[in-house]
Amino acid sequence: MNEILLYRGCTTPVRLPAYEAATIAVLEKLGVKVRDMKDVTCCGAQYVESISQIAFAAMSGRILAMAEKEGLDILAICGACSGSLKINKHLLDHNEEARSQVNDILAEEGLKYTGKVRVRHLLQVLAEDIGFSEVERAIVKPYKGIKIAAHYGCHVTRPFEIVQVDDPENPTIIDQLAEIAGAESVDYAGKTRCCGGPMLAMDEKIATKIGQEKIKNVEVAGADVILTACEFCDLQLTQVQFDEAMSSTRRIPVMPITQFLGPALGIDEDRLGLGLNRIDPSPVLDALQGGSA
Amino acid sequence: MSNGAARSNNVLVVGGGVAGMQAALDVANQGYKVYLVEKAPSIGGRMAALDKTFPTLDCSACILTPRLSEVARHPNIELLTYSEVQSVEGSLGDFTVRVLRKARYVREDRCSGCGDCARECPVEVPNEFDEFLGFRKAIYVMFPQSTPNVYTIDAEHCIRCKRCERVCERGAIDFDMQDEIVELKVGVVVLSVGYKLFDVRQYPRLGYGHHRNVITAMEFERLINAAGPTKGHLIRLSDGRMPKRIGFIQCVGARDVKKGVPNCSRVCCMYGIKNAVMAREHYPDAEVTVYYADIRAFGKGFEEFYEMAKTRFGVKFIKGRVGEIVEDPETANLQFYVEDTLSGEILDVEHDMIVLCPGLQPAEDLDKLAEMLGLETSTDGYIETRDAFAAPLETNHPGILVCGCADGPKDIPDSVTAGSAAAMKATILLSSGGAK
Amino acid sequence: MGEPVHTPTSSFAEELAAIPGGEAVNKCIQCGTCTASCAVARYSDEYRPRQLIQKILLGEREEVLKSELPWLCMTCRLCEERCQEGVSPAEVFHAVRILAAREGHVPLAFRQVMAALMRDGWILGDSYTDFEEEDREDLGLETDLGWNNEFLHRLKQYLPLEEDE
Repeated sequence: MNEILLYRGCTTPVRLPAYEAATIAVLEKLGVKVRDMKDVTCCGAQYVESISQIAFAAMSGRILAMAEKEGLDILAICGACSGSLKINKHLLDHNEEARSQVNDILAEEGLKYTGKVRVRHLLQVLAEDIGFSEVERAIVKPYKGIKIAAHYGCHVTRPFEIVQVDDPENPTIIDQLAEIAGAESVDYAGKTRCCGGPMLAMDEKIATKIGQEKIKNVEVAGADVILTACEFCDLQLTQVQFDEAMSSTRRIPVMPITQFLGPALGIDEDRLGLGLNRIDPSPVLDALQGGSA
Repeated sequence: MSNGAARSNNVLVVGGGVAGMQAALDVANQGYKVYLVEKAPSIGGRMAALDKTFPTLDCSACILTPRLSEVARHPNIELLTYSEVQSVEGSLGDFTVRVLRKARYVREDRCSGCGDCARECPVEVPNEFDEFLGFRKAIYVMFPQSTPNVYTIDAEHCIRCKRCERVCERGAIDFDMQDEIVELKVGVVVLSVGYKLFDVRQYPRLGYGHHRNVITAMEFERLINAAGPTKGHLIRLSDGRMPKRIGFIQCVGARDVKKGVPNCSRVCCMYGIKNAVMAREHYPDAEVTVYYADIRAFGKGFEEFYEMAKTRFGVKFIKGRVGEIVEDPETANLQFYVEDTLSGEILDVEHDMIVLCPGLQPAEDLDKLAEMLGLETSTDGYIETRDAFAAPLETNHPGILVCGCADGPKDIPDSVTAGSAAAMKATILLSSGGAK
Repeated sequence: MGEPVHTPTSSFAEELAAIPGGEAVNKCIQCGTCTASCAVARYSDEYRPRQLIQKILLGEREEVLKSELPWLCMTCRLCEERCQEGVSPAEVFHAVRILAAREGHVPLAFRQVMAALMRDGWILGDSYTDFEEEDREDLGLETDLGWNNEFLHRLKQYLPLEEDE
């Protein structure tokens, strides 16, 4: 694969642009050119999803049809977007009635969904389209003596039959990438549990407790940093550490996987937006062999 | 079909567990010759490893061993242990079976089972009979009442130091032994190849293999067995201490559409309860809880046993399946959440030992055996019987019968009954001339 | 003399089984694995996936459709992954939400987000200020996000929402 269309989603460009920048920089370093998608809408995850199946399918259908026009696969960096696009693609591929209903709507936009393009979550692009050995070859400044806890996110890995990213009960892609970069990955209780993010809509207190439970489990396991593959998880796991129930002196840095890989691949820190991270990632960068750039 | 001279009135029984032994004895007692082929070094099957049976709480070895002697002594039964069927050709009344007799490097006609060799042997390997919780030597018998009472050398681990050979007073060790193929002529084949247990590692969230004090029901059986690796002391594997709060988890690898095992395994509710009762017997002060979705106590004496477990033995039962098991890194205790569905309360429970009760599965390589014999298997992988009502022991291949767990999960009494039934079917076929 | 007596009926479960996602609801054996796995249930006093499915199976249609509980599922799908009968409580409650929305029961939080979405084509239009734009510029990222705010109007007929929010 040498080019892919980036579907940013609503949240990343506004709340975690560093994730977007780091992903583009890392993929380009690894030989994949990333092109922006323009004129798209939100994917409709959670909200439209809960209100109308046809509207939800049409929103994803349009995004997919637009990618078809370019003849390129879609890169989703948010778990919810990845989930929406994949679930709707699955529906449209297998349900003729839904497909024809959506295509009727898309026809008014001069678009058609035929199912030609794939939806790839970032982890699939790194692990499958690029491959671990390519990543390994490109590491120039590995980490040393740092422990990471990988948080995969629910929508990235489930439902497995549809999304097909890693083993949902025992995922390893982020762990493997981190180890290739020289870090040690630690196991922790509740690794496959949710960050609590989707709960923010209805009950912030519960969402926070869920996220904090995750942080506590990571602490017990002795990890120095949490690596994510979805901006929603990243923001949530960061945010809950600022709640009054948590220690203000000992916060665990949270970084998207591409932001973590960036320095190890020799990418300039400015391009990775590390200065924007709410929890200071310097302890992580100090573990780069040869010091941080 | 076949000319009269080629016909055989012998019966081959494949699998020396409790069903196979019963079939062999019942055929032999009617005057026919039986070849009993068993791939392990000893007959006895699963029962040899169990501690107590349900619902009677009989000592498993105690009720089994007389059978083992009976089989070994029977003039009409020829035991071929440490042997495997390689091929079956021919048809009902006239089968030619090739059996691989694996080399034990110990002569059956000379070994008296005295054990001097094992005492000399310097090699220790994890003992599969003890679920790898204990050790055995490279020259070994599976259990004290192994039948035949002949030692076997595990060629994979033997270092050929030959100390056993030097110490054997009867010159029974023979390193020049080779694997041998023997050809048997039989009229009917009875398959009683048993079962294997579901691999609980397919449930990462239950922590087996990772959390030190999560064990399987079979490991539990060996731990409470006086002939087991801890001489019957039920201990935690993490620190050797006595457990005080034991949890039993049912339906691990049974009634699970996601793991390809939608069927109920028939025996696990009862063996789970039996093990829970045994846990209380060992430690009357321990808190013992069984976590279940349904308790299937359908057989004779089963419901009473379940009641007794609750009232007389004080086993607790929670109707709720568990979530994820988390291990405390310091105490190695186990925590999980479970909903007591009868009250709706979500419980946060801690145990110091958890026993996973796996479902039954078709025997290892049953699919290969079925293919070799041209037998149909059902969607759950067991041998398909010709008709559940009219021919529950016959397969689609005339002359090949099936009994015990080879056609589906069964407990011990049902397996024994099936063995007797298969024996009858076999001899009817033989005495009526066979060919149809 | 107290509350009206509810007569159990399977019609609600059948109604849900006809909505994609709700098909397996009748397979539920009420074992509680979902609730044991649910992080929301742990921290909420009221939300219990198994009990909610029980209410569905008993036919408590009005109560379930008007309740906020189906909207508390955070769609993490751990229940779905662990259910041994192949039921997905997450998908069942998704089907309940679709039905509830058709009958006009959508929580305020969702209606508010939908209003922003329909207006802008994406949900964080109000949060994209100069500061965010500057951060993007510093990172060398495109600042004109180019969201399409017209397409969603074609979908209004499928979205049963009051206009006033």
